[in-house]
Amino acid sequence: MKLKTRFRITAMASLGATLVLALVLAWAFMATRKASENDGLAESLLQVAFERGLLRDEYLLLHEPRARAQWVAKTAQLEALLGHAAAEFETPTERRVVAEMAALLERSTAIFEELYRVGENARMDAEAPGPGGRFRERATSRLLLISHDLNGRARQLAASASARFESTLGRTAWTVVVLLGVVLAVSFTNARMAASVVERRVSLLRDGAEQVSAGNLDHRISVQGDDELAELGVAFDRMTARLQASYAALEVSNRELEAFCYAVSHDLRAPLRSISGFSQAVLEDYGGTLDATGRKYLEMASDGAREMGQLIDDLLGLSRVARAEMARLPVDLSALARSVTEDLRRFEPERRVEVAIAPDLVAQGDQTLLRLAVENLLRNAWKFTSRHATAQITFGGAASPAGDTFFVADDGAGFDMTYADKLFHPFQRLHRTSEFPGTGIGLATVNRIILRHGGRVSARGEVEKGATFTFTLPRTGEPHA
Amino acid sequence: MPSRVILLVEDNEKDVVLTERAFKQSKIANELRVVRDGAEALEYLLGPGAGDAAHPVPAMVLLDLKLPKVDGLEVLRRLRKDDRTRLLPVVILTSSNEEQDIIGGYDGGANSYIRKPVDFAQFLAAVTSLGMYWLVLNEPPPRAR
Repeated sequence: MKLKTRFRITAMASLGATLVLALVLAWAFMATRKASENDGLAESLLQVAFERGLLRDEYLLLHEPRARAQWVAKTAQLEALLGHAAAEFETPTERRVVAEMAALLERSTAIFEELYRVGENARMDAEAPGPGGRFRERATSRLLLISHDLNGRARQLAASASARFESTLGRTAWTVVVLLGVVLAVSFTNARMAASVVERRVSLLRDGAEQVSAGNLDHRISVQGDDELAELGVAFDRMTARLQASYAALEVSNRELEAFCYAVSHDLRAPLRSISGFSQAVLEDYGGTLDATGRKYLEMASDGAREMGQLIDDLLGLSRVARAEMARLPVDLSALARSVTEDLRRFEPERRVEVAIAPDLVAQGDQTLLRLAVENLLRNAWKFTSRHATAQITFGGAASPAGDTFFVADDGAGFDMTYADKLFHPFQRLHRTSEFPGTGIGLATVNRIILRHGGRVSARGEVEKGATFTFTLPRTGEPHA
Repeated sequence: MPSRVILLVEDNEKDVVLTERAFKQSKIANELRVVRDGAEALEYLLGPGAGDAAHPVPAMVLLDLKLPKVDGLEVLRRLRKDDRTRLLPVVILTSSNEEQDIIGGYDGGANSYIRKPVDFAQFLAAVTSLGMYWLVLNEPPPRAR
């Protein structure tokens, strides 16, 4: 099931429940109001019946016409209330009680009227008790009994209305509780299921991403399901497949590059050897028949071949730096620099160069490549200070959270900053070969090595004041291809 | 007794001429027999006529790696598998200094690996040292005598 569907179900359930709840509450409001009204009506009936009883008693005791008039009004009021109640009360029991009350009212009214009539006549006759007195006693006691019944019925009605009011309230409360429970259960189940699906998918995706980033391009997530995260998994697998294809293509092109380098190394050198060898052979065997210029030309051809051989070797060295497998271990650059400096001194012991190497400079990287980088920088510094009587070379560094920075500074020939961007390109030189020998591959090699470590190289210099080469090496981080 | 032959396995005509010239200049008197590809080299050393008057067993083999038909490393592998040539001194003489070639050469049982320098003067020096070492100083294995 799609997550969208799940979320929609939860939303619909909540919305539906809210609607039903509103209806239930509206119905409950109506029902309780009705019950409350009926309750009030019953109370009124009780009240009016009681008051009518008081008026009746008053009249029977005092025979005041005012009491009777009030009694008549109360009776009318009671009749009206009963008529009202006959319409309002709906259960059969209540209807029966209302009907009985109406009947009792009618009878009590009839008896009272009878008593009134008899009483009026007696007053006109000015003759008391006698048989009329007995009739009155009987009638009065019957009246009291009926009244009592009437009050009883009214109380019954009131009690019934109250009970209905309470039961309506109770039912409403239960309905609300049950409804809320159902909604809660649906939402909770849905959310639980959605969460478990999401968790399962996300953990699969996370594991997949970790596997792929660790280099396992064969890994596929292969999710089952029809939700959005399963679609994401399918897209992820497609992406990995594309990545794998690109990687395979890259490997093919790398192999082609290696084959090319091999061909360069082998095939381009053979003709150069011929140029050099046969120039030499002509010089040796037929040198006597050539003049000085002719011999010089042949020597220059031979020199050119040798230089091109050196260029090819340097180019291959640079491509090897780009292709070499890299390790990432702590490398003691200070020790490297000391070892390189010793070599330089051994070959040119007459040079007066002061080399200051900061102690304990450690970087993360490939020992062989970093040695090549440091060696190239120090050899450069050594070379470009060779025209000064004395020289100062410094190798130092500074650590920062982002990575470590190292520098090689000299006070030699320096360079014009205008051409600084040319320094790190292969075969770009800022000095004539006659001044400082070289093919212009050293700094390109340094640049390639530092880039492969994820760092950067920069240079500052001033003509005849010296040059400073700075490189950074990140502490951690993926090596760059 | 005439000095023993040296077998040069080399497809590049110019390199053959230069090598012959270098041998002559370095006063190595041994006759240089030249074969042009790996198949010819195997035919010479392991073929039906191997060891007869027309195909004397060489004092050493100078083997190029990049050869037509059968490449140098394959030639070396087959020589080392055959009892007759198992101990024959083989010097790889090639343009390549790729690590994989050097390792492959020594893995295959080469006695030495020399990269041909571009400069003829250096090439001459290399050939002279080579001849001096393998033909004069080095005691060859008994079976290769």
